Amino acid sequence: MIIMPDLKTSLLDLLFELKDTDIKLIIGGGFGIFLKIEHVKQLRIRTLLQELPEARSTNDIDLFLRPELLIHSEKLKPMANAFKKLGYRVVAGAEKYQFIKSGEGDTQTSSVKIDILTGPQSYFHNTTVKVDKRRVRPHPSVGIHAHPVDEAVTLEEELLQKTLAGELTSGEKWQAEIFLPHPYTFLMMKLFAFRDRLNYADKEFSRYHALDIYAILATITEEEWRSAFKICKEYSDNRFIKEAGLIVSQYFSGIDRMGIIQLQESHYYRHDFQLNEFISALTELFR
Amino acid sequence: MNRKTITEKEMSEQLRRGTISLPPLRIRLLKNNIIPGLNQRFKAIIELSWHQNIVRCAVEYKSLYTPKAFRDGLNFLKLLMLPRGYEPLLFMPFLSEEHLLDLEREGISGIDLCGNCVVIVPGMLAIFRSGGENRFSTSAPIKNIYRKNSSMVGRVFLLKYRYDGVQEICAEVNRRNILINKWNKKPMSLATVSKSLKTLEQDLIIQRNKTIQLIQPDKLLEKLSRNYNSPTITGQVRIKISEGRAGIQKLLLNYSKELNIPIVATGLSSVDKFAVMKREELLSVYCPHMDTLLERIQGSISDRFPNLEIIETNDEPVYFDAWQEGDFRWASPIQVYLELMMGDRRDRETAEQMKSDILKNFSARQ
Repeated sequence: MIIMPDLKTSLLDLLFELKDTDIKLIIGGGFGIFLKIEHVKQLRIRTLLQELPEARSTNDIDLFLRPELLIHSEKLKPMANAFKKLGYRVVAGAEKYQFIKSGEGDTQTSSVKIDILTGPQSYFHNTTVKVDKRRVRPHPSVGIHAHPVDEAVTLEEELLQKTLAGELTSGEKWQAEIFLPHPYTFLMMKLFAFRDRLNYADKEFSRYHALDIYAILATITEEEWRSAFKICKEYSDNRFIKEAGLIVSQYFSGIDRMGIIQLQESHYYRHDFQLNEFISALTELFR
Repeated sequence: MNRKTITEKEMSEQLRRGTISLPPLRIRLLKNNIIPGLNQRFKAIIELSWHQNIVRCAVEYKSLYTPKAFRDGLNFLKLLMLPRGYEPLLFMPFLSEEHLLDLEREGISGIDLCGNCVVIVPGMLAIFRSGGENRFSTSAPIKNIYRKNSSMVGRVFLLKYRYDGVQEICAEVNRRNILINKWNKKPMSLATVSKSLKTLEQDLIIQRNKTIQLIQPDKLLEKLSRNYNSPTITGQVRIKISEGRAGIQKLLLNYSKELNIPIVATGLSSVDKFAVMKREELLSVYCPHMDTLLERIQGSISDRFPNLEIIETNDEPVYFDAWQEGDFRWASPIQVYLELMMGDRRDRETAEQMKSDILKNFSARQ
């Protein structure tokens, strides 16, 4: 079983290998949410909701690469070398954009998986990069691809810079800068992920996503709340933004909606969660 | 049976009627209403028996079960010279487990009306019965003086530990209560102060000699904290106003003067005045009449990140000993401590830091 400190160590190992480069990593997914919760708790920053969930378990690190890195692919070479050096291997079927490193016993549950992601396909129009729904392939190839996230239209907006500090696998202390997506971007991605997983037989993933949506909204700071409306206004014509509004309206706009029901079915749900405030704020943001 | 009080006469009557049940022990009253004399200062003689073992006890009654009553009874029995063959026994409405253990340590027997006892007669009897619920607990003759208005009598001892008399204490309580000075609240009466002092004395928190002085500040703080209830709130509103923190404080002070309304920061909003803790962005204040204030304040009540919270309450202790710094009134350190103690782990840690400062001040003044 991977715990958050293990993921932190794995990420620090990678950042250590990238220390002399200008590769800036944006951390999304469950681990990114964990880092955001940790950030607001440590600094005691006022957040939109007071009742924050506990960090849910995950063994993935979602690394978002800025499109610029994929367009100028020579900049990514150190990253490909770092994966090799740290013992990561490609995941079959998702070669070059999913890497895995086995832990003790070589079991899947003790492995760390890194997903390489980037912004929407539209970012790469009129560039040398080859793009389809599944992959972004830099040219010339450097052994790293990225999975495009079309709904992450605001990926580079108002990123939160954070210092990640801890120990490397070697035991040495290390710290490096990372970036977290703006909560609005995070919400966009999670709303689509929720909808995509909703009709799967295994409801665990959609429950995770519903919980993540609560966590992202709960940890929004005052500054982020105000900037979210600016971002929303700026992208108001984008079809993904409009679609996100429909997802909220359909699944999160009332206590009887499926998103809220699934949130309450999550293992991490607590009765002190501020559901009414959550619904009201989410619908205000995605009106 | 719920009783408000029990008198020594009623306790004696229960002994006479043999209604006190402490199996396997049998209790029989031999002599009652003993007139205190040179050699017989105890109040009754009873016989305790278990099978063939019989022992006679000289009994001291206490109709209260306060720490002071217990301590007085115990000290009395410890110093009592008894005729040969008599054992000392304390009889109270209720003996807590702590009291029973104290008695056991001192080698003195004790019985109560709730099924608890300790009987120690070396070489003959050793009985310890505990767990009997206090049937008198809900109807203690003394009201809870550690909460609401009467708590201000206790609080005033943490600000000045020695007073010349009840009147001085009463004057000090009323002087520090800003709702009397600024909101026409009725001053606390001498009778209320006296009643509170009696309990504080019974609880061994203050001592009366030539002066009245605090002897256990830590116990007083603990009692205040354990009995603290949040104020009764009659209205509450959160607003976002365009001013920064300093501007809000200035604005409130101006309104307070202009409208003649006391406004005091809550304990939690005053923490950073006394302890190292990050200041909250939301300034919460108590005020006895919210609507008058709201008529003047311009702001948005629908904003999700308000910076001012107005809590309407007429509970006097939250305003007690509020102090002015520059242009704003902050809660007293004791109010800050009490509110922190109601909070989460980190708040309670800060409360401990404040407690040690309050106690340090007390030691320094002694």
